[in-house]
Order: sequence, then structure tokens, then C-alpha cells
Amino acid sequence: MEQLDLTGIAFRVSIMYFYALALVRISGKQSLGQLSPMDFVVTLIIGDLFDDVFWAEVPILQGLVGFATIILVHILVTFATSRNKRLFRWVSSPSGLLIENGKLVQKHLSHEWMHPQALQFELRLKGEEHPRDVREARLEPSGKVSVLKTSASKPVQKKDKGLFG
Amino acid sequence: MEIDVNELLYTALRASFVYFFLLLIVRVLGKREIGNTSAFDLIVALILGEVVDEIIYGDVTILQGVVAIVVVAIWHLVNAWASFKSPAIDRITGAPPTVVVKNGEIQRKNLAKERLNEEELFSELRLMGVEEVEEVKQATLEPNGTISVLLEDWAKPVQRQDLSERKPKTARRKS
Repeated sequence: MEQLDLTGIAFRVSIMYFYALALVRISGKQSLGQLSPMDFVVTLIIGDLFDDVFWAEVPILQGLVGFATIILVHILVTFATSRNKRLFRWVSSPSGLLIENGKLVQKHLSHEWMHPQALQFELRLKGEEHPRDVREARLEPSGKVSVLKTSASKPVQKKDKGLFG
Repeated sequence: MEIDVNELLYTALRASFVYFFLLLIVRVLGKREIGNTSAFDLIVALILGEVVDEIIYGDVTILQGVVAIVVVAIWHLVNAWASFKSPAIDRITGAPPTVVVKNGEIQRKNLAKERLNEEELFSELRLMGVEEVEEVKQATLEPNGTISVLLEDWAKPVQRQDLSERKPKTARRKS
């Protein structure tokens, strides 16, 4: 490893930097914005591909091919799932209803292996104290919990005050 | 397996060096360049994080590691500077925002362009506490890959200015 020359490292790093910039640009912001768990995994895979090329542990060509393949497959999968609902259901778990009209939906909670305490902390993070104020809480495909308030506990909107229509 | 105390000591020393060196690099790059303002910033942060393991375990020399990190940092600075100076370069290296909902209507063409489906859009809207797409004046897929939501005026929460509207200023005076 000692014979790794510094200009070689600088060269490989530069190539990979611009290659990554180009591929990220092609794949689009959505695929690296972590809207789905797989986006996150793909981002981590990509981040891990570089160092072996930097240190010439793999030839640069192999690094370029590995990188491009991951991006390409991810583009194809997200393209297909954005157009085909059945395929989307297959690769991403549908959102599970955890609270409905202020009551916990035990069936879905146990289906998602979620303790009521875990739901409580998700509610607290959203500023909710009690499930009774929640009309709908869902475990979204991205792994985050969405909370919609009951109409009685919602903040007053401008339309309620008669300022609009 | 023998335990080489010296080697463990060197590992700790190299790890400490890496920590403070990266701290310096991140500080020089600044929060705009590494603060996850675009998808690519995240990749650069991951590259920096992955490069250092060989340095810590002594698979490459400190000097080799420093060269790799500095070259990544320099290119990232050049990229940020060039995108700031030239709109043309900015369009090439950065993704512009995409409007996915306008005046309560889903922009299906833009959604398809970003390889998103309606289910994913509704999921994001629910996460922002929005129930009906009609409430949305504009939803935008921003360059960092997250969706921002601006509400229609009537769907916005009541603000203080709405309350003071009906109260003339004179009413506050002590009689």
C-alpha cells in the first residue's frame, strides 16, 4: 500500500467526484431525498463505493461500473413503481392506520410490531398529548408517522373565522 | 491473536487526528456546502465519512488520507463557488425545484418526471398535517429531495393580524 502515489490518489478522487456529481444529477433529487427507506440504503451504498477506488483497492473502471449500476437499477425501479400501483405496493409497505378517530387500532399496531409507547413518543414529537385529539395517525411508507387532528382540535383556519368564503 | 498495545495506541492517535482534521474540513466547507442543501451534499458527507476508515486502521498513510480528503473538499468548494457565480453551471450541477401541486391541483406531469406517484405525494402531505390537496397553494419538490408545502390563504392558521383587524387601535387606550 505504501507505493500509492499522492497524484494518483488526487486523480482518482477527482474523477470520482465529478462522476458522482453527474450520476446524482441524472438520478434526480427525489431518489436521494430519502422519501423511501430504499433511497436511504442506496445513498449509503453509494457513499461506501468511493474509498476502495481512492486507495486503488479496485480498478477505477470497476468503481465506475458498480456505481452506475446501482444508480441505474434504482432509477428503473422508481420509474416502474411510480407508474404501476401494484408494483409500488410490492416494494413499499402501504401506510398503516394506527389511530382512527381518537382510538388506537390495535390490529395494525401489532401488525407493525409497534408498542403503544412508541406511538406515544411519535405523537409527542408532533406536539400531540393524547390520541383522542387525533383523527388519523398513519405509519407512512417512509417509516415516519403522520398525524391528522380531529376537526375539534385543529387550529383555527382563516376560513373558520369567515375571513374567506 | 496477539494484542499489540502500540498498534492500539496508534489507532487511537490516528482516530483522534482524523476527528480533528475532519472537524477543520467541515468548518472550512461551511454549513451551506455540507449542510444537506442538495442531494449531492449528502453524498460528499458520506464520502468524507467513508474515506477515513483506512486512515484510522493504518491501511493508508496519514498523508495519503489527507490528500484524498483535501481533494474532495477543494472540488466541492470549487463546485459551490462556480454554481454561485454562474447560473449556467448552477443549472448543470444542481437540480431546480419542481412544483408538484399548484392551486390545489396535482401536477401529474411533474410528478411523473420526478418518478413519484400520488400515493407518495399524499403520504408527504399527511406528514405535514395536510388532509386535502385543495388546501395546498403550492407543493414543491425542493433540491434537497424534500417536499415543501405552502397553504392557500383560507387554509392557513389564523394569525394575530386577523384578530386585530376588527379592533381599532383606539380600543386599546385606557378610557
